[in-house]
Amino acid sequence: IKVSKTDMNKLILNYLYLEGYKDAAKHFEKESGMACEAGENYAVSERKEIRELIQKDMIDAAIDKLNDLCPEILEKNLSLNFKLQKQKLISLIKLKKTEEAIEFAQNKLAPLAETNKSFLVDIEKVMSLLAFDNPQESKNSDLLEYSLRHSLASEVNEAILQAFCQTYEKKLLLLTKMMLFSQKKALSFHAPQISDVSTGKYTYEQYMRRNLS
Amino acid sequence: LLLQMLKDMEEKKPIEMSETLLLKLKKAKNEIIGNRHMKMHYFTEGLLHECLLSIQTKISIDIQIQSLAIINSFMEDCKEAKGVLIAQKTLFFDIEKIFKDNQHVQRAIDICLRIIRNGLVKEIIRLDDFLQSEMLEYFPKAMNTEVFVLLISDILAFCATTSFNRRKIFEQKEVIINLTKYIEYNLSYDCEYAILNALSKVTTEYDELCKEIMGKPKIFQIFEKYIRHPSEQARICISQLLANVNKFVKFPLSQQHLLRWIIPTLVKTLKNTNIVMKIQAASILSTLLEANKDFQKIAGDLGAIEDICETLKNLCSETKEEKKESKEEENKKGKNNNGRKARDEAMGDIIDAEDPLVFSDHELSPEQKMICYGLNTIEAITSEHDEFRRKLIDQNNHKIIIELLKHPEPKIRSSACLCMVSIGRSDKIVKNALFTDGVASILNRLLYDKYLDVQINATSAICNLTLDFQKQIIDTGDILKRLVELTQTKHITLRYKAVFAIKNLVYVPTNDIKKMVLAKLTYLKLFDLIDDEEPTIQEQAILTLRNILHKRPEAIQEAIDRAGSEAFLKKLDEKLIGLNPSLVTQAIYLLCIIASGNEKQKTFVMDGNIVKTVSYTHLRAHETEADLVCRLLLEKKKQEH
Repeated sequence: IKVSKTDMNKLILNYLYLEGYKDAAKHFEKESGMACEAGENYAVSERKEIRELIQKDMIDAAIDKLNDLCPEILEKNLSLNFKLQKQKLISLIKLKKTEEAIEFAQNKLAPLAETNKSFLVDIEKVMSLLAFDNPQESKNSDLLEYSLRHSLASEVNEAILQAFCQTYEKKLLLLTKMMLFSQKKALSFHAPQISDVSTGKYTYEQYMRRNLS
Repeated sequence: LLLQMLKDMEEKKPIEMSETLLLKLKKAKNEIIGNRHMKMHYFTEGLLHECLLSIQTKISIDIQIQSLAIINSFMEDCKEAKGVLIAQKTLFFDIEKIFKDNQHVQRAIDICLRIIRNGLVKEIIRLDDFLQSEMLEYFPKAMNTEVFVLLISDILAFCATTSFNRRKIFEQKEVIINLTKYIEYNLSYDCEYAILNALSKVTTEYDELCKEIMGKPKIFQIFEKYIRHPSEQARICISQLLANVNKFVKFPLSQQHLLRWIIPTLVKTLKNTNIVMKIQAASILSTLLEANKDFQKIAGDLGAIEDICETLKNLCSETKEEKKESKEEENKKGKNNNGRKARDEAMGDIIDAEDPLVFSDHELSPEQKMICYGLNTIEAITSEHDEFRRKLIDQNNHKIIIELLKHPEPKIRSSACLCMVSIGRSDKIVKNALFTDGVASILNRLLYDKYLDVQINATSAICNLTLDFQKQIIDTGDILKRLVELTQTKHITLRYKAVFAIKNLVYVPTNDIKKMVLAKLTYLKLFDLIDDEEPTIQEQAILTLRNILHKRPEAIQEAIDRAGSEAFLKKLDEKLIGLNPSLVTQAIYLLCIIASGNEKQKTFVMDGNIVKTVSYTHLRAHETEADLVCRLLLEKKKQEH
């Protein structure tokens, strides 16, 4: 089935705007000659700013902007609030501000765990980084990676869109999920499988085996 | 900082600290949001008081917005702050002022709407203050983004809890009309659901609004989407809206399946452990099933009565246990516990027949609401289906309804009586079971109830039960005496029901019973009732007389003698030449009864004037019955003369 270029461009534009990549989306709009759909670019400047601040590990500034935009997001979403505070603790540990980190964990983070015991486990994992002179050597060093901030920024972005009654589900991701689900179902028919989603590479192995037999 | 700023403002000094204050407020806001521990810390430091002060003063809008955000945060998860906020009587008015003065500032509108919504839900802001204010007038202009529409919908849904509130909201039609417009837009689920929720609460009484909704081309698509929604709450919401709209607007044939579809949802919800949802389901069912035989059958077949009775039994046993505990406590305290007084309190105090009370607008507890709606639903299902009445008896579920006739809450007693009215339409077997379980004596007691509605409905229940069971009714307590007393009450509906009940008492019973009734009622009272100001009562009185005189020539003579021949004829004459077709018909039937007596009575009927009146009535009669009866009379006259 041939997918039209227009549809592909719409999917990409949808992804860029919903993720908050305002500049990329603007360039893409210019090059493709397309315009975004209603609601996709809602508060895109603010979302872009907040995303950048989180990715740069400037959590206080991100929280400030977020609360200015909508104070109820973190009030109602305790899990997201905790993740942001946890990220702040991680950034303090990375900057080797040990005493500040301990004080922050005791006074600001630990009280949040009163509402949810699972938060304690997360706090303990982060605090374990303090045991190492070089936190990268800790078995929880994945907490220091950029990917965590990136996914946190996406989560915050989605929360903002949801709070303002906008669609936050990217069509591209939805389609990918549907494709993987269908592929799993089609396994029983030995249909060709996409082995690498990023490149779209197929494998015909099972299909060939079945036909040969 | 704030106090210093305010002082500087008063002294007209330049304010240099506003920027600093703004930063400090933002920092505090970021620390308290989502953090109960920090909220307590800042509350103790007096932050809330500072913020309440700042929204009262003409300070910069930025500072006021930050203060409002902090106040909004304190409303969540901080009991200590709630007391302070409730005590601040001007809170709502300060917010209203900021809202009105900053219509162009989106952030101000956003935070004001959020704080009003949260304040109303948490009972920090008084509903009366909101409804009496001008806020609703400003809402249409504010409905320019989805999130504002959502917030306003939430506020309206919360407010529309009573008829009075709905009327107040409906006075600002523009808000509601805007909501109906937005249904057609491609909105997010949250916003669309909020609008539907608001409309489901507001449309309870307004046919104009229901017609407006039904006029939207996309509305049936939306109904289809929500009646199969995975969320039970969404399904309940759309069921409410459908039931409300159905009251005023007939659904097209192709869409009537929507109404049938929601019944299983509602019946299923009756099994839910959440009492709020149960109440909603029972309330919607009782509206939907009213006067719709098909829906009643569906609900009955799905076991709605059994589920409701199960809930009623559980609620009653919980109440009994609570009462037992409180009684034990009272005994421990050594208070006097007069058994009769307790019984009277349990069943409503006896008072003078002339002055029963009308129900007040007092709010029922959730359990009481559930009982009322549950009874109303049972009443609706059993109103036209004998199979469900029998099933009720077979499963012994009638006992809980009889028990509820003795409930301390009058609205529940009234609903239980209405249930009895419905069940009492049944055959002898069903009625016999009710009598065996003592319904008659309880209804006797309820004829003296403190509340008018209870007396009326108890009388209605007796009306239905009395057919085929006249002896049992007369032998129970002083029902007959009380019914006769009620025929003299100033309350028209009660008087009507009483006469109706007496009419049924004398319908085809033994002569002894007729004599007993007449002994209490007397011809004098009956003739007075025939001249009652209310035509429906006149009709019932004539029917009563007709039943008493049926196949009893001696009684006919007695009636004529008591009234005096001329007076009697004059009375009948008046009814015959009157404009009320029902009265004309009944008067003619009465004449037939008299004409079926002895020769003297036949002659009495064939008196010239009456024949002329009957002829005249025959010529202008519109009712087929009256026409037929007139012809029969004239035929008889022709045969004999």
